[in-house]
Amino acid sequence: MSKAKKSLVCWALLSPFLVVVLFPYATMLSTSLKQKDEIFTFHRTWLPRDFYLGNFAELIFEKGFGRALVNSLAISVGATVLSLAVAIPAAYALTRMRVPAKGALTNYLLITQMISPIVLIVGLFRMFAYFGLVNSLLSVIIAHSAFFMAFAVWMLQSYFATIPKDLEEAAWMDGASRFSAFVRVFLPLCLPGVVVTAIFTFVNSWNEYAMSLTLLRQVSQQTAPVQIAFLTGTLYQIEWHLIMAATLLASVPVAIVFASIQRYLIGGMALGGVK
Amino acid sequence: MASINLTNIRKQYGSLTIIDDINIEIEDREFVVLVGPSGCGKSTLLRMIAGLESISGGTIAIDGKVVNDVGPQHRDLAMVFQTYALYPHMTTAQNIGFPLKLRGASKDEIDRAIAGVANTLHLDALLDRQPRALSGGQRQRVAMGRAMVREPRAFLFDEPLSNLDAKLRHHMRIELRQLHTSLGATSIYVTHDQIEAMTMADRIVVMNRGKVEQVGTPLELFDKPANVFVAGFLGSPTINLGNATLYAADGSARLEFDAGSGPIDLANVAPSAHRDVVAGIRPQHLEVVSPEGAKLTGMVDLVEHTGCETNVILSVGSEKWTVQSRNRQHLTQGEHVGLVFDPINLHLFAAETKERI
Repeated sequence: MSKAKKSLVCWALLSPFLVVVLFPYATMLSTSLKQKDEIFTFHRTWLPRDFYLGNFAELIFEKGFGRALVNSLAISVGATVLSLAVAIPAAYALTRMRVPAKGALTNYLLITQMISPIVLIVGLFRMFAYFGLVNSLLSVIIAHSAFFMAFAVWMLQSYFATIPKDLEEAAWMDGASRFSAFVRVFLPLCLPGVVVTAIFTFVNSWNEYAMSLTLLRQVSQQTAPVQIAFLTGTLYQIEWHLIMAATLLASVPVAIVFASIQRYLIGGMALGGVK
Repeated sequence: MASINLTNIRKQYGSLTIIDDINIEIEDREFVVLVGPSGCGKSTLLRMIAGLESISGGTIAIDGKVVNDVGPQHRDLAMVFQTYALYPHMTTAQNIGFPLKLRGASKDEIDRAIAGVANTLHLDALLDRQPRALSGGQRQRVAMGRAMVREPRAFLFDEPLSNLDAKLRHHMRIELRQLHTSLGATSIYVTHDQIEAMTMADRIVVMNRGKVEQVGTPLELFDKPANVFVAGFLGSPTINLGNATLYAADGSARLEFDAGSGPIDLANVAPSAHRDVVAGIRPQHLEVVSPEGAKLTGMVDLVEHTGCETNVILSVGSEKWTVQSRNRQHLTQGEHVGLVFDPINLHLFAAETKERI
């Protein structure tokens, strides 16, 4: 089979999946650019009558969705940074040092992932209320980083284990302290693993709904997913044009994050250092 | 440069003893090779000297100062790893300059040092390349350069040539030895390759199962192996060993191989009481003759022609022996031949202790 033919067959086989993946985005884009009266017409079209950007304007200036995006961004970035700040040293210790009860610790981390956060939400609310952190973005940052940290540690641990120990030992022999070898030699090599973990944490935190809903009680503090949910159920009518515009806007930061750090996802950095 | 003294060194993992009471004194400017089969503890010992492995007992002293509790950063030793361990995200120049950068040297100093090292190791054209763009031999040189650049107190080599092909290994062996001669640096070199040990070392330490079997110059070890292990480990092809009986008759020592057909007079050995021995004779010291009247005979299994030399592999009793000859041998498989040797080249070991008599 020729190369062109082969790729044609591959695309043909993939296209049903492609449709499933892209259809929601197409709907979002199409609906968000239509005016309210255009949505429930008998003859539906993909293309809007004219490219109407009023939905976005209404969303941002009247519904305060811009504020929600900023909140979401602050929480996601905060949770990612905090969770990595703890998970990187933890994973390093678990792969490189003698840690007492290492097996029990990693199993414990795994078990935390088996419990749905929704089960814990009342308890969490009471705890944060006790500390006076309800209605504070910090509470969600802490809760998110705590929940996604176990995954981050597992993920980083498996990546760290692929970095040859010789490289650090060589750095020690060259005169580097443990910390200096970690920063100058180990971390640069782990960058792809750290970036992948960061993306997962960011996206998880960006999409998280239950904890954000419970811990942030004021409209001005709502995150994007929470506000989108409120758009669907609070009025006598469901404003699909606004909801679709909101979901489209909410997808943008995630797309940007993926696109901008894609180059770090290419593995093989560590190749060539040791034979 | 420095002397390194190991006193009663031990290494244990739980109840498992890896290194058992090792004493070695390495003099300033000496090139010492630790050699032994894999798992004998030679790499562990080197890593203990480097400070990468903890010490269960005994002391390691560099220039008379005990360094047991000094970290690898502060021992001022340089190490070349088997895997080279080049930093993959740095160029050749950055790799070589790394130890100086850590010491806070100025950019000028670092550049000058890199240029000097690159010149010595012929790396000038490769300074901007990353390790992945280098061949095995080039990586090896960069690893050497990184070790040389800061003039450490001693060099540690952990099987540095074992990832190279045979030709390059031979070439690097010569270069390494020349480098040692010109730098005059104390070096400890770990290998399992007895050719590397024989050709490069001032002194060889033969190790087996965590213990030192013998220490000496290459030729001392080759000519007077202290026991059957050392005799069998050094020399290629391997020494031929056979069980025999040593006894005295008519005022002279006689040796009779279990697989032989008569006593052999040993003029150079003092006559002694009857005892069981292991007799060793190197393949180069045996000669194939006609079987008639020979005191030792064998059956030809295989004849290997390497060009210069011919190796004849024979069955002598239940043992496989090798005869290496400069003459082309025209023998056929299954042929019965006699074997002769000059008794002066014979090595005798006690049968029970396997120690040299």
